[in-house]
Amino acid sequence: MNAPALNGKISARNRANVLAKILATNERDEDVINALYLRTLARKPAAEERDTALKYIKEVGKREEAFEDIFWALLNSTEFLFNH
Amino acid sequence: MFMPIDRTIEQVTLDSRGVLHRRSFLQTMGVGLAAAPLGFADLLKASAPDLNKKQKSVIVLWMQGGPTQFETFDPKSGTDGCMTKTIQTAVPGIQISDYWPNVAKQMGDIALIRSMTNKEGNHQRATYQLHTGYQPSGTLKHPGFGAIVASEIAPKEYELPSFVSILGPSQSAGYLPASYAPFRVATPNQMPQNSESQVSADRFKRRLDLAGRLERNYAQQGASQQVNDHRMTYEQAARMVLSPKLKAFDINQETAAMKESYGTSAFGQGCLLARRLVEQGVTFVEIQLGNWDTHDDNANRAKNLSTNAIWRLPN
Repeated sequence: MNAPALNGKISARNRANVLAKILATNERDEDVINALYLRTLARKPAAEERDTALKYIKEVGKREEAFEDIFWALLNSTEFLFNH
Repeated sequence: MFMPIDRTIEQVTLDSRGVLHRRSFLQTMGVGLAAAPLGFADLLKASAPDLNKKQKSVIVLWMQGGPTQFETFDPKSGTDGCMTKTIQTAVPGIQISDYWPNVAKQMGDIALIRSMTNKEGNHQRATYQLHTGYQPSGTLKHPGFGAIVASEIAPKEYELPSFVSILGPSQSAGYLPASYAPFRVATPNQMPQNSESQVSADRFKRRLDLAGRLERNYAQQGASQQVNDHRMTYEQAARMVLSPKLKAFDINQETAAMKESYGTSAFGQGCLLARRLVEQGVTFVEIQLGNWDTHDDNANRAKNLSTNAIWRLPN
């Protein structure tokens, strides 16, 4: 949850990180969400989940920061714990 | 063997200072042991409303390995092989080892038990038994006293863990909910690992909220119990991380004089941390000091352990 190691690895600012690469190669937010879901939970998001994430990105207003939070939420989810 | 019960657990009362009288405690325990499977947990349950109201806390100093009574609380000076000198305590008729002059002065407030014996010869099994009241069993994991006390008298929705274990594992929550398991501190002079959020408090709350919303689908697909437990754990952790009470874990906020009086050993610092935690309202703290299994070089090792800083209790 607060481990510096995890928070460092989900940072979008480090170009070597997965999130930075996904953001650089996908312009559409839907595609980034899909890629993060596939990578963490090995499935595509349900429609409601995608909408929740899109709404969150809009609320936060900063693309990189919003996706760091989404990545964090997925890695800290119950589903990731049981099923990844 | 059954004896008639002439006292019931309801008769266990606290005096005006909130002290559970040792005589009443022992009588009840004694009757309980002879007549019915009435244990510590039952007794505690009966007294819980009273203890709860008075916001009582417990600190256990766990001497792992088992200190020798001859060099500590029950020396037999003048007998063959006993090198420990005794000193008179504040209570007439009770002498203890001269390693502890300040403990001796406090004897009026100490309930000293010299009659305890146990058949258990294995440290691990005895540690379990003394923490839980039961011998280890292959089928059931009993909760330790810390978890029992936390579950009975700790305030609900408290921001810090109700049961903290410093320098040792203590005992798990057994069949009680995981929220009563000990929160472990391995280095008392440092804040607990990962207790500080890596992002601002606002963003941290936002993240938690997002995580909750993204979990809904998975919960609806039949994992609602798991999602609920998981979220409860995260909420408990988040409450602690965001709470100003978290500072209780920082012994460096104490004055130099206070730190000095507890010494620089990890155990001494653990005791200072325990003091800060109960002052903040934590219900149960256990601190472990190991290496008391002094079979060889007993006299010297027991002396070294006994003169560890904490035993220089303030006058």
